[in-house]
This record gives sequence, structure tokens and C-alpha cells, in this order.
Amino acid sequence: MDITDQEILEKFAVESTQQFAFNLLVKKYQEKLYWHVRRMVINHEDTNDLIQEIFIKVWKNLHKFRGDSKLYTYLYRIATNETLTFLNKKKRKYFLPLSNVEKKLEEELVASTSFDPDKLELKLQKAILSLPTKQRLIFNMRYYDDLSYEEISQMVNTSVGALKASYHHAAKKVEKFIIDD
Amino acid sequence: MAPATLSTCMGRKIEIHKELQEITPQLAKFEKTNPFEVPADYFQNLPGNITERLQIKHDEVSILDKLIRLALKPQYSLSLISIIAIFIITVIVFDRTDEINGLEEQLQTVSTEEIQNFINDNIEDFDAEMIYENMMVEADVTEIDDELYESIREYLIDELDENTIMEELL
Repeated sequence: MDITDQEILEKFAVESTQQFAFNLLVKKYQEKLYWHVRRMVINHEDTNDLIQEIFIKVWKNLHKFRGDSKLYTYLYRIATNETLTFLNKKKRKYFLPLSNVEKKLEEELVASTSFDPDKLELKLQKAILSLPTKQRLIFNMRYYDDLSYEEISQMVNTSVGALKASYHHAAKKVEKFIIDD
Repeated sequence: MAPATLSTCMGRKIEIHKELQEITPQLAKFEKTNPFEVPADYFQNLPGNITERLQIKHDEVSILDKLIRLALKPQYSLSLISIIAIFIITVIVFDRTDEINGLEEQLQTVSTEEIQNFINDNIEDFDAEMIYENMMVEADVTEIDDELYESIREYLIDELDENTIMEELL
């Protein structure tokens, strides 16, 4: 898609082209945000609900966006906050300690993916799921989304130094999990 | 990523891969694959699904408007707030969401006047009088102005998690 973020924002600012601009925005970013959320919540149904809520929130708040950050940074920030809120709610809803939520996510992972359970892909996903939520989020953003530390820093309000340390620990833990498993 | 050029993206991928090789050469050897599946045509349909949800949300906010306006009227406030509180407690404590999901659709068809009539028919005169007197003494409120209404409405919609409110209330 060739349209720039600036063009989307300009069209969104005009009432007659607002809906059109919003559709362009959804089409441009839906896949990136979907996979960002899916890797955290694992199953498609939850991701689908969440991604729709995220875009509805964007629709309601985009008029307040002043361009202090890049548009995709702003979108990722909303998606990340909504995802973390969802995971916390899930924990509260089932009155589960975090480790059990991750166990539940692991069961959903096995149920909602098509790969061979003996393959390394599944081990990698299980290893990533064993990380604490915030560390898992940072690992995914760096490892899968190829985001720079500066971008992640703006999205999760954490210093670059802390992010580097977190990613380093996460990668080491993932490696150890795979070797020990 | 939108603003980055192809060469910037490639450069960053290489940089991230080198970093991973330094931290854990084992993990760096893994091929990054996507094990998850999505239903056919999911991304073609998603923009349309979101537009539909936006229309439903718009209607939900209208219902919320009705309830807030009623709750701000002294003669209805305590009753309506009690009803809302009971709904929220019911949903949170007993997780009866499925049983009350139909309420949203029913409320769409109910006018503000009908809600007022229902409360009038189901409240004792003594209760209404007592509630009204308590309201006047405790809050020194004579009438609800638009500014107060707007500020409460904005608070409920923006500051409280509106998804939760609507999911749990309706």
C-alpha cells in the first residue's frame, strides 16, 4: 500500500474522508498489529476481538494524535496496552496465578497451531511462553517485529538500557528452555 | 514498518540477527516461522467487520447517554445507580455475562420515556421522597447542568475502561 501516514492523517482530519482514511489505516496496519497481538494472546478468537477493540479505540482517539511520535508507534502503543490489559483481565477472571495463565496459553498454543509437536518450532513457542509477560512482549517486538530499541522504548515506556537487558535475559532463557526441554 | 525504507529494514534485520548471535548462537540458527493460522479471507473481511462494530458501539454510547441522563436526575439517581451496581456485581461475582447479553439488544428498542415509566412504576413513593431529600442535603444539587453531564459522560467514556463498562453493564 503506497499511501503515507501523513496522507491518512490529513484525510482523517476532514469529516467527509474520515471513514475512508480510517479504512486505509486499518488495511495498512491490520496484519502487523494482528500478529503483534496474536503472539501474546495466542488464540485467534481472542486476537480477533482484541484487534477490533484496538481499532475502535484508534478511531475514537486518532483526532487527539498530534504527531509527537510516528503513527505506527502510536498504534503499537495502543495495541500493546490493550493486550496487556486483556492478559491481566484473563488472569483475574479465572483467579489464576500468572504461571497458570501461561500454562493455559500453552494449551491454546498446541490447539491453535498446525505444526508438528515434535518440531523445534513448538519448542521455541513454548519457550517464549515461559517468559514473564513483559519480557515476552519485548522479546517478540525485537525478535519477530524487528523493532529498534528506541521504538520499543516509546511503545512500552521503558528505557533503552532496560530493554536491552530484558531482551538479553529473555533470549538466554529461551535458549536454556529449548536445550533443557 | 511504514516510514522505514527497504534498505533500512534489511539493515535492521541484520543488526538484530547479529545481536542475537552474540547473545545466543543456538537461537540465532532458528528459522523464524509463523506457526499460527488465520481463517481464509480474514484480513480481507476485517476492515468491514470493524466498521460494523463501530456502528454498534455508536448505538451503545447512545444507550449509555440515556442511562447517565436518567441517573443524574435526582428522582432516579439512586435507583438507577443501584440497578447498575447490581448488574456489575452480578457480572463480576457470578460471571453471568451470557445470560444478560440479550439486554443490549432489548435496550436498543427502549426509549428514555419507557425507562422513566418503568422506574416510576417500580419505585415506592416513600423511597423516592427519601432519596430526593438525601440527595438535596448531601450534594446540594438543585438541577443537573450540561457541563456536569458532559464531564461525567466524558469521564465514563474516556477514563473508565469503556469496553469493560459496556461489556459488563450491557
